[in-house]
Order: sequence, then structure tokens, then C-alpha cells
Amino acid sequence: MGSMREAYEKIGADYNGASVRLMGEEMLARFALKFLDDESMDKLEAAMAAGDVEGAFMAVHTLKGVSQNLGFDNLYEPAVVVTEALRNANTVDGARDGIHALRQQYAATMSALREAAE
Amino acid sequence: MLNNHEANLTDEEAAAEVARVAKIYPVVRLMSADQVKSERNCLLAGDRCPCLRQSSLEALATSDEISERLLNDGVEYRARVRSLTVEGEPHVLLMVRPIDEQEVAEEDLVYTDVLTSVRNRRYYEEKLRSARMNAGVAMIDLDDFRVFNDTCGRHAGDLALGAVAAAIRGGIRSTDELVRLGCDKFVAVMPNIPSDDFARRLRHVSDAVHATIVPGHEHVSLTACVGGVRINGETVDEGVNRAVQLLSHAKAKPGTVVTDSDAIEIFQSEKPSVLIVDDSEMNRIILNEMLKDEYRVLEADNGRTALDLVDRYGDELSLVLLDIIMPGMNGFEVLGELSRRTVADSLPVIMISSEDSDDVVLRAYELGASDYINRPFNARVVRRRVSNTIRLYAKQRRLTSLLSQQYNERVKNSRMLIDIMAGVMELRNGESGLHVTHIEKLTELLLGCLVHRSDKFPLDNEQRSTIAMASALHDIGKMSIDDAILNKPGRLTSEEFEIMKTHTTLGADMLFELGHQHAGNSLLEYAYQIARWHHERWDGKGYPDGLKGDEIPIAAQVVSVADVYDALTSVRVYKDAIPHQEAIQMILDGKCGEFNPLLLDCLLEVQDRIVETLARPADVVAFPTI
Repeated sequence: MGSMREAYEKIGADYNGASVRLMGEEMLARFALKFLDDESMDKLEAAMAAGDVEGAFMAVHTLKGVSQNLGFDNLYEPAVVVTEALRNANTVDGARDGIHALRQQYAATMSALREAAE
Repeated sequence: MLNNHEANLTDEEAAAEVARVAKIYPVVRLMSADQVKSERNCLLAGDRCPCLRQSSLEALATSDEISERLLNDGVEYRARVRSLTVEGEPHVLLMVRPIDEQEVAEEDLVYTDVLTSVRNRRYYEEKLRSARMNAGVAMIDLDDFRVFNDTCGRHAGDLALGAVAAAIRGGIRSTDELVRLGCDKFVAVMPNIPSDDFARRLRHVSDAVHATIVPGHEHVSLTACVGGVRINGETVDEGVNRAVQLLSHAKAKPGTVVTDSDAIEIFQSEKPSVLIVDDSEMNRIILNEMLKDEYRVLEADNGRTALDLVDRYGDELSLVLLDIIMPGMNGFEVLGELSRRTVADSLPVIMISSEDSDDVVLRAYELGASDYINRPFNARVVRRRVSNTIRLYAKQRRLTSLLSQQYNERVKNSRMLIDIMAGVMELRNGESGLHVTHIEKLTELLLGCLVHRSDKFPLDNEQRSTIAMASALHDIGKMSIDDAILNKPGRLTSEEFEIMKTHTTLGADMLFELGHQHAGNSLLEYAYQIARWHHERWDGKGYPDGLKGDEIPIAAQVVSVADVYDALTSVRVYKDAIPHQEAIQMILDGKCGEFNPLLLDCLLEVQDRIVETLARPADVVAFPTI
């Protein structure tokens, strides 16, 4: 399980907090790896491309909740920024700036998790 | 007497000691440690009191003197075990004598619970708690006993405890110990009982408690949860502690019996169901993982599916965990839909979201959510909130049913008294035995229609059924009318009719006088209005007061219509029964005086139901008189 701790530490996520909340390190590792299958980032990108504000809001809101639950603080923070930019918005344009940071953190998180999975 | 256990006795000294104690104890044996360990029948009653072997070993190990009570063939014995050293070898001296009756009686008194006649707490503390044995130990805990005590009274509570203790005693063996450990908690200790017999007896105990009838409270059914564990050489207290733990699981459902051998399956099959509604699979997985050990978990990824599942599973669901932000139908909309369903009152909903602004939380509560869980999830908090909420609702359901049981019992009692009075009146009036019942049904039908048709009389269910009940006393004044007039065949003279008319005021006065202790009671007030004014007419041409229109209280107006209809359609000493249709027409035509037009509309509207309800043939002659 050391590798999951490393993955968390590498991306600046809260390993200790999350493992206490989520019934231990073993369980946390299982949950965290499930994140590799989570589709909310893909949904967010698709909705942004299509200019679908409501769809984008739903997707990033879900991503925010999941990353908060898993203790991915690095991902949670930019997800909050994008969520708030899209809340009650008429277009997706307000979220364009925020989404760069989110993409970066998402990529870092996914690659760290893939490493841990090997 | 040799008190020093360390002293090394010679064989002769040991023989002398045996002879000395044999004067007091009819059975005495001196045994070496090896004999205790190896000799199969070293004990006084062979294998039937292995506890004495245990005690001997204990005495050898600790050099303490041990004293205990044995039961053999229905006779109780006092046994003492003392360790000694004889010729350098460790020995035990066993001494046994029957306990005489006086000793038993005295001991019994000190150790008996006054209320239930089973063993008391002191007995447990002094005699049982630290005893090591092979036994089944069961904790028997009455469900919601405090509520029973509070609603039925202390006295009933005491009666219930006595009855329950007797029921438990009947379900266990006569050699088993039964202790009342706390207010509504009993401990049964069953030495050397085989596993299957233990489980079977505990179910008997649970059934017996359920079948217990508390004198004077026959409608209340008591239940107890039973947790049973087996101890093998551990102390009774250790067993009790484990049984208590087991019981804390069983308490989810009243009347449950769990033993350590079957605990796992029972929990599997009786797990409460929890529905998780969240659009994110990730979040559902996490919650499912947290809850699946203790609950059957159902999942829905959107609001529509969630509502379908609620409809499908209904009462089987114990709780819903509901996400707020979801595509399609959001959590608030799901809550709104849920509140329109009948299960809503008994199905708690816990909202989940990271939208933790006060407005969102408050809105959730306003829409009927029971609780609120914030992200990020904490497994322990989630589990605790879920289990607390489920318990609370389960308790509330049990309380509601208990209260409604008692309420219905009260209503049944007043109903019965009124039926008796009405029956007495009918006997005297020589009317059809059904008159009072008919009036009541008609009154109920007319009132139901009236509140639908007009908002002038906002009478709720409770008030309507009270009026219907009060209608039974409408002719109570006839009790004081001379029999010759009351039951005169043929027409009354105008003088006689004047006397007959006084039954209204006589009845009202009776109710006023006899009921003065109950001033303000709505049943009595309605009964008064009905008795006095059920012969008043809309145009003021009725009696006794000549009230007009809505001066006549609505309760009396309704009963007057009902009374006229039933009188027309019944046989009387002075007339035949008139068929339904004709009777309705007569009333509409004002042949029996004027009535409130609104009530006449109601009469027309409910006429089919009158025929149905009263089983009145639509146009043939009805019931003969009794």
C-alpha cells in the first residue's frame, strides 16, 4: 500500500485524512483506483466543447464531490473554481480559465494513480 | 480446626480432620490433586456436577476455600472445597451437606426480587457473577418497556414484569437460574445446556413473552429481545457482557432472538434496506462499502429510478441517502415527490451534498429531510447517522402503533357504553333494534357529503365521528315518557303528543344534569344539541324551541333528517315501513317538515349509499319490529 501513499503525496493529496475517513488504507486504495474509471472529467470536457452549461456544471460538481471524498485536495480546489464559474452561468466561457488548472491536476492525478495501480 | 492451608498434615492428622468435618457434613472426601484431575467419578454426583471439579482445581490453584450450592435430584446441597497439603502432596477436602429448609428460606428471601419472585441483582452480584461454568447465558430485554410504563401506569408496569418473569421461567428448565438484573432486563443462566436446546428454549422464552397477557391491558402485546451466548469455563459476567453486545444488534427489531451461533445468518436475513441515490458511481461505491455490512444496499443513479424503487419496496426500505445535485430530477425534487407518497412519514431521508450553504441545508430540512451529511464522507459518521436515524424511526413507528392501539381501546370503551345506553332506550321505546345504528350511519353519510359540498361547516373526521356517536343519544329523553304514551298503538291525542314532545327537553336536561362534570366535552355538547333540537325544522315550525334555519345547530339538523328517514322506512307500532324511494320523495316534498335545502341535496346525493349501507331494500317493506 506504500505506493498509494506515494501517489497521494506526489500530487499533494491528503492521504492520512482520507484513509481515516474511509475505513483504512486498504479501502482507500480500492476506492482511489476506481477513480481511474470515473467519467466525470470526460463528461465535463464534452459539455464544455458543446457549450452545454448545465451538463458541464453537473459533471464538474460530481468531480468536485468525488475528489473531495477521496481526499484529492489538489483536484478538489480547481474543481471548486470551475463549479462556481458555471453555477447559474449562461455560457461556459467563464470556466475556460479555471479548467486549465483542473486539467493539469487531473492529468497528474491520473498518472500517479496509474503508477500506483501497476 | 485447621485454618492454615499451607500446613503440611500427616496421613493421621488428615484422617482426623476428615472425621471431624464428617460430623457436620454427611459426605466428605479427601482427594489428591492427581485424583481430582484423573478420576472420572471423583465428584460427588459423577459427571453431573462438573463445576465441583472446576472448583477443586480452583481451590488447588489458589489455596482458597470455595463454597457453592449444588442441585442434585431436586435436593439442594451446600458444598465446600478446601485445599490442604497431606504428606507434602496437594489435596482437596470436599464437604457436602443438604441445605435445610430454613436456611433455604432465609437465603431465598435475601436473594429474591420482590416484584417478580425470581433472583435479584444481589444474588447475581454475590453468587453468579464470578462463577465459572459451562452454560448458556441469555440476556432478555423487554422492548419499549418504559413507554408501556409511562402510558399504562406504574402499576400495570409492575404487573407486566411479574407476568413476563413467569413467562420466562416457564420457558427455561427448573434447574436454570433466572435473575432480574435491572428494571426490564433479565438474565437466564442454563448450565450444561446443549446448543440446539439453548436456541430452542430462547425462542420459547421470546414466544412466551409475546403471549404474555397483562391483566387489564389485554390489547397490549409485549415483546422482548433475547441475546444468548455460551460460556465454556468463563465467568457468567463475561457471558452477560457478550450477550449484551449481541443484543445491541438484535434491538433493531423487537422480539428478535439471537444466539452467538446463529447471529450471523440472522443479521444477514434481517438487515434493514438502505437506498443510495447519487448520480456519481464513485460516491455510490464508497457509501455502499461503508454500509453493506449492516444493511442491504440498493442503488439508484437518478431521481426517477429512486422513486420507482421507493414505490416497489415501500415499507421494506428503512432509509434513503439522497444526493442533492443530480442531472434530471434533483434531490429537492425527489424529496418533494416523496412527501406526496404515503411512505414518506415513515421513511427517513438523509441528504448528502457538498453544497453546504445554510440555505441549502435549511431547504432540505424544510422539505422533510431527517438529516444532512456533508462531503467528504467519514465512514464512522455516515454509519452512525444512518443507524441512529433508522433506530429513531423504528422506535417512532412502534410508539405510534402502541398509542393508536390504546386510543382505539378507549374509543371502543366509550362506544360500548353508548351502545348499552342506546340498547336500553330501544328496549323501552319498542323500536327496531337497529334504529340507533341506522341514525348513526346516516348521520355519518350526510355529514361526509355536507363538508364536501359546503365549506360553511368545517368539521374534521374526528368531529364528524363524534357527532355520529352522539346521535345515538338523540331520544334519551324518552326514558322519562310514560310507557302508555310511548308505546301506544295508534295515534296519540294532542295532549299525549304534547307530552311526547317533551322528550327533547327532558333528554337535553338529563344530559345537562348528568353530564355537568364533563362540561366542555364535545361528545356531550353534540349529544345535548341533538337531543334538544332534532325535532326543530328549517322553517321554524318544529319543537321544542321553534328555532329557524341555521339557529339549529348543524349536528341536530343532520340527525333530524336521518331520524325522519329511518322512522319512515321502519315499521312502528302505528305504521308499516315505507320503501326507500317513497321515503326520500316524502322528505323532499316537505311531508315531514322543512329541512335545510343543502341537507336535502346531500340526502339525494348519498341515497344509493344509504341503501347499500343500511341494506334497506329499495322498494320492498323492511324489517319487522323486534
